[in-house]
Amino acid sequence: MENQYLHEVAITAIIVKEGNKYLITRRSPNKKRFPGKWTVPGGKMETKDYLALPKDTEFYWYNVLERTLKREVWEEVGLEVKNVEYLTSLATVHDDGAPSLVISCIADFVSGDVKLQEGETDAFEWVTTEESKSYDLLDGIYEEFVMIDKLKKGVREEWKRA
Amino acid sequence: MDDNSRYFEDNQIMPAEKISLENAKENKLFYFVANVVPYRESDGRCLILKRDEREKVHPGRYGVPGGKLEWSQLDINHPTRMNGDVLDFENAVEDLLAREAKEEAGIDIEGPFHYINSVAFVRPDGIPVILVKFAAKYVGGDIVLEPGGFVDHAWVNGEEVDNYECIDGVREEVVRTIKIFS
Repeated sequence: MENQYLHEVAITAIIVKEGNKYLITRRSPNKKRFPGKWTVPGGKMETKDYLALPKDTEFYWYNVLERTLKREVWEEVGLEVKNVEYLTSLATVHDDGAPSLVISCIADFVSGDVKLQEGETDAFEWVTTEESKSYDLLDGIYEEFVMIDKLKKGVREEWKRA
Repeated sequence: MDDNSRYFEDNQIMPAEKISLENAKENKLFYFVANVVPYRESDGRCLILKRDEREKVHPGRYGVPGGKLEWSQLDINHPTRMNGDVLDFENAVEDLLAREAKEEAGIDIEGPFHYINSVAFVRPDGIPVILVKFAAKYVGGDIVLEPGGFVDHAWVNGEEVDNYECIDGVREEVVRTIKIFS
């Protein structure tokens, strides 16, 4: 029996600008997973995100979600973000059988012009929840935008089918 | 299931038939652990649990409910959603926390879950762990401690927590939880 506790851990960022605009990117046609689909920036956690850094306490590196997310966003779209907040989670099993956990976060846009990482994505847009309906988004992302719109009005709830 | 197979064939979708680490990248595998600080609205106190003195890690110290994500608990034939040929199980962490709070302490908690912080560490056996901490409202249930798990409990506010020997970080998380909900 393989170790049933081991998972890939991915983190995704819904970057918010001007209160209600979200950054979406289109995955390159040559990507193995979800080619041509619209998504949000993110990627897999790696131990290199923290192993080389000094620990913040005797045993722990703190703020790993925030740290990984900032790196991913910088690499993929060239933006600086702040106020990273947890939104929701998703366990997935890819067609190759690999189990992973996706942590979806929200972050505020700070500065920079979008610069797409070659080979990863080939287009981007800043869209409102309403506008996002006309894009071929990965399933579940629209519902997350709805969640954030509500959060901004002070209503916090779990992910649910819109 | 036959209907599914036909649908998959027509759409050239080939979801995994079993979960396996064979194709996962070894340097990108982690234990994912989530903990939750249960908050009782009626008196503004949080639940902390005392670990057994015989535990190897943090013996006798106070912590909060939580546990490791386990892919063997994902029912591959019943994903909550299909995303292309990827099987999705929504609210994975939220479900894990509700289950652990029930199993370890006998209580019901309710979302939404508020993020407190996240840490990484490496276990003595070398496996990297991502630990994410949340706060959630206690909504009912009498405390029933899981045999072999915890041996005592306390409901504490931001000052009372100082009277208990807690695992590093727990005191701050209790204080933070009270701030989130008040």
